[in-house]
Amino acid sequence: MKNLFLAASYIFLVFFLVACGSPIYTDGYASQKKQGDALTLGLDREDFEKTAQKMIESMLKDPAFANISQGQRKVIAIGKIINDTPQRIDTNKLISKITIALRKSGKFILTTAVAAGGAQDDMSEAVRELRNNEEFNQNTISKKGTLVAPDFSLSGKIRQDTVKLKNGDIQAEYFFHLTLTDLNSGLAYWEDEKTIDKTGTSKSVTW
Amino acid sequence: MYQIILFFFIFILNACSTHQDQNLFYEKELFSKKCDQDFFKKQLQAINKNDDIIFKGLNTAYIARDCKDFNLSNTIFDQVENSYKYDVDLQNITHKSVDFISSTLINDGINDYQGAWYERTMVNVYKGLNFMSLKDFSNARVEFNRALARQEIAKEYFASQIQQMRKKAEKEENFKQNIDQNLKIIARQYSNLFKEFHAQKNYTNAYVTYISSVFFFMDHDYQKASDLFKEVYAAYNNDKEIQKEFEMFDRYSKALNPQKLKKHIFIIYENGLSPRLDEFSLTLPFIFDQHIVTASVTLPTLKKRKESFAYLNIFDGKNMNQTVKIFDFDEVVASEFKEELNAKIIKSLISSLFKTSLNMAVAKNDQSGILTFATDIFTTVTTRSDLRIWNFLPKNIQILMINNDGFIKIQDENNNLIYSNSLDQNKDILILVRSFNPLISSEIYKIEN
Repeated sequence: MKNLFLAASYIFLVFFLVACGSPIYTDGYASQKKQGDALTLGLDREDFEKTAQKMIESMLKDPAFANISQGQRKVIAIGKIINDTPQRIDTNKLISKITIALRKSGKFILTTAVAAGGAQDDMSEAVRELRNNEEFNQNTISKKGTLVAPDFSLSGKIRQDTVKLKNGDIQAEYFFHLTLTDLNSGLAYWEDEKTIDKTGTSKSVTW
Repeated sequence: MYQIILFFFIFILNACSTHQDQNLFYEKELFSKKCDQDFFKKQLQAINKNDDIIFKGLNTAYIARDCKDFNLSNTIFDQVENSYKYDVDLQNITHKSVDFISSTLINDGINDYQGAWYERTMVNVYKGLNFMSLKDFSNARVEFNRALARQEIAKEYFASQIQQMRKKAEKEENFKQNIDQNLKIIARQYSNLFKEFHAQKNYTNAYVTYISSVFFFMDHDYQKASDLFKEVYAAYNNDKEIQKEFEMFDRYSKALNPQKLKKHIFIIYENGLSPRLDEFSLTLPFIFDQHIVTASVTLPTLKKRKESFAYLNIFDGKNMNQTVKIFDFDEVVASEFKEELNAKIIKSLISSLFKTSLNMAVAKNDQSGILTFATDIFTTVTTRSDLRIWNFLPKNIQILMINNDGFIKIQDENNNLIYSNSLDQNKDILILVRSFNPLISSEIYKIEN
């Protein structure tokens, strides 16, 4: 019976695991200063909203764009936004918030006729295919040379690193990097990177 | 009362299964190439009812991929991934303990299959390839990032696991006698096996890194492709094919306008089938109340399977080249099997300890002999190994990279035609050839970007 007791004790030992708490936001440094509770170790709506807000503030404050007046609004096209994380995310969550805020600022306007991977709205092209179609009043169809080419392209990348901490937890680090490129000169007029750090259990993957 | 006996009877019958019949069932379905919708429907029903999701899901999703139903394959692989997370990794302690106790006291076959680490990474590799076949490179990137992340987790896992098991076993003197001594006896049984397999020293499945770098190359992320390829080069730098590809990856990562450089064809040949599991029994001595008694222990072992074509002949219109064997999947399977072995042996010994002590306690106190008979039957039928494994992974992987001159012809080693086609010279092309054995027609996956 002693062996039975030992076997039971052994089985208990094997599964004696320390309970882990919910994920939290941290400053991402060795101090691991808590910055609030997180919903998940992955990326959620709050992360996109916060990052988009910080990016907009950064862009609008930048000296390159501070003096654009209402009449000189710049046209922005959406370039390639690469999701280089193991998370299945829709990068539009980030970009749509940024483009809405940019348009509201009165300094920028988005073209949906040109974008990486194809137009966001292909109707601009589709209505032009109605030229010479007798069913349509040709005076109401867009004239040649009326589409406006973009001044800037907004592109970026979202990356993720996972760091194992001393206490056995993991820190998921997300890097949001955006660049606004002047399409005439090819120069990056603005770029910024925002980081989100979350700490949580290493028992499973972050996605 | 009868219901309880019936339940117990069914429970025991289920426990004594090695699940080898299921391995054969899926193998038959895959080799038949029928792509039977009724098969998928029934399997999905079982998976949706949470019935051994990982084992059924891995096999069914692979068969769906072989049928080129990439969406169905990924839907099922998604369910497998969810099960890894919620049914295995994040399973609560109570549930985990019940599973562990039941599998120790009866056998592993009583619980759902939880899979191996290399299987997890390969789930993401095949999901990535499925997305590439669907021309969805954004989601393919996510899957290859997942495969690489899982690879990192696996490396950490193996560093400490065996040490933990050993430390616990060494704490108690009786354990030292009953477990340690018998471990040595069992280890001798396995020594020949590992001589045959030459299990790798580290647990990096380099194929995962290689195919990920090919993906990033085809997705025009030349810097990331080159960085990843350095890891493959570090492990196989004596191989001429790897050297050639490393130089090309490096050149593209440094080029000013790499997309205007020459396009390439990557041929990946997934050859044969990785090892299957079998079981063997041993009779070992245990010490109880200063007496030595013998008990039977059943353990799993690996059995190598045959390769399909030894190599493929690749003709690009001018030159004939052969695919080069680089990644030995037999070794990947054997490495993980070896690392998990101590834990499995210890669990099996504890199981035998429990069953033998139960038999002895019953025999001492049972005048009628009925209970003794019952516990003997219990021991006999439950002393089996769980033989579930993802049976469809390749035995080895061969590769070849050639310039894309607009044509390719692939033949087996006897020059029988496998595939021939004109190709778009403006694209990088991945042609993956999957052959289980020479008698079954090979599947060709042509992916371009």
